Amino acid sequence: MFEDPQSSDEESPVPDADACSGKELVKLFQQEISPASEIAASLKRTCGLHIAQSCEYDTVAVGLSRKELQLYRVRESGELALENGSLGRYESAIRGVRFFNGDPNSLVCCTEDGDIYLYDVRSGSEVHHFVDTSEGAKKTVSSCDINQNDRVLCASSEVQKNGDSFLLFFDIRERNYLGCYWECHSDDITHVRFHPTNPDLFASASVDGLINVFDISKLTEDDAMQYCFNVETAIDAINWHTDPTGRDLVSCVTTTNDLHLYDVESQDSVALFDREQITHSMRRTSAIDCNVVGTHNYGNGSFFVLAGSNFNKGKECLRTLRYDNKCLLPDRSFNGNKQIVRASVYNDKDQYLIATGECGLITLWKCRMDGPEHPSINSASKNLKQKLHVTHRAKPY
Amino acid sequence: MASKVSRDILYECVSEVLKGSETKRRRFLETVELQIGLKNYDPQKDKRFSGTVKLKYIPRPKMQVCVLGDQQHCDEAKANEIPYMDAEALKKLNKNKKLVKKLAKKYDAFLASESLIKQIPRLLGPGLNKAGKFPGLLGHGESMVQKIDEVKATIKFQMKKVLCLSVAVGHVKMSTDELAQNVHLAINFLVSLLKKHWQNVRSLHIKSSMGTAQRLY
Repeated sequence: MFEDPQSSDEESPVPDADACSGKELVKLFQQEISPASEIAASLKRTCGLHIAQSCEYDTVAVGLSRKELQLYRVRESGELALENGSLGRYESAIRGVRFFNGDPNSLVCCTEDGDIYLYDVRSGSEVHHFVDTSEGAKKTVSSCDINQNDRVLCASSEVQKNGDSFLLFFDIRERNYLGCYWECHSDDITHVRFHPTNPDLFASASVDGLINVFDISKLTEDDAMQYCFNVETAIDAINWHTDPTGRDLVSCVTTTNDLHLYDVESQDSVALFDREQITHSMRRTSAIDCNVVGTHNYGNGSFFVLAGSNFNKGKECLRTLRYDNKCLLPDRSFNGNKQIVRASVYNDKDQYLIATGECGLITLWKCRMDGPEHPSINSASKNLKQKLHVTHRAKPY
Repeated sequence: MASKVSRDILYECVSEVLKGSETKRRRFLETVELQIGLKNYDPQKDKRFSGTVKLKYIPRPKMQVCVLGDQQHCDEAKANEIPYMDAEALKKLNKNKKLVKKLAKKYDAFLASESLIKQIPRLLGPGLNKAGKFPGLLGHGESMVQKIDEVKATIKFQMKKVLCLSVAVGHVKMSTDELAQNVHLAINFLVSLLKKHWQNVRSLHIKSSMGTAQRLY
């Protein structure tokens, strides 16, 4: 009677499962990787919601739902080890953690109440506390990032009582508040990301459905606002990528688990994958259980999407899909995942994926196999199986 | 996505809501809202619950959409008696914040041709962004009237700190069938976005602006 393709008259929903046989999966996902290391953030219940890695890849900071920031060392073997105690404990929820781009010993952590803490991981102490009280009360902060040359810190806010949402800027070296943008979004700003190599370029995303790209070298907000992409639905996270010719791309994951990709300069929509398509690419059956964690750059000019399933508390699968010329192709499958993953980092030098999630576990998978390493950019036309020596784990079925 | 709201209950509640508005008529067109109460959901830990969904029937018929069009789209808008502005008209606003704000207030939403949408920040500044009315993309392959109907049929929802959410799904002049279909679609979509689906739903109600709430679940 109703045309909604997602509705059915069955009493129980279709359980999420693999959409093909185990044999097919092994063929498609080329690599099935087991964890090299796993550590629990706590013996008590907590979730890992934020994670960041240092530029030398030897340290990882994890923001927990119980308002605690922890530091882990990543040994060359891939082993994770907790650094003494916790780096910080806060009154309000952690909303973002970022290491500096050039300094492996400095990181910032922002909390919901509007406080942004700068730490030196060598001493494990707080070096500075950034806060904007220019208008009296602190603004609730939702995300933060540091620009390429570690000079500027940007924190985004949720929509405040007066209806404004802000992008707050701080000079890291001078330790002062620089000013803000406040006209470019009309609802909670959910994510800010500086460009990886251009210190003046950054992008912000919001529940209002817009991605704004700014050049902060311009004097006013009006002049700084370079591009606006209307995704037309609330955005969860954004990331910068490049296409094979070096053009800047911006991707976003929406709150409904869709992935959009834009070419920045031409402002064209390059690709759009809804959660049904992502689920299909992942070879799973249930789109309503799809959990898109985010995107990461391989380091060789292409990127991948990390996604799992909420079904069975996330234990079903964790997979990556390689983006290649408007397609999402099966890439890697991670065994032994025990949780719904909420945040991840990718070490493109050693090819480690580190993820954390709703069981408070921090897991490291080594993606490098024997033989040629990164999937090449034009791999869609090549048969990877001929190049890689893949050790398949026998799947019982 | 199986529904835990049987067709009978859905139709019964929808009828009650419509009947309620008939018996006590108001001087405005009452909106019908779907109210969803959540459980086992922690706004501090769980992923943000928000998004947009396109309904089958237009819940807000009075919504005014303006087209910011290239020559072809402006001609099409004129032919269909749809309000429009071309690049020249936008340039005349001279990026004046007061005028842009006035424009934003005049319409509920905007659609723009590809060539124009890329120029909006340069032509108008952030005024439409601030008003939450940045235009959606109007392509050349689709019918303008259809696209406008799509915009009118799309509803946004967002859960803030409290565990309940209200979303407009129709109005009291819709037929029982139309309203029921919209409610059904909205419920299925919203529940599909929750991590544990129906296990995250504590209650569902529908009500008209001035009427009493009818419990669906």
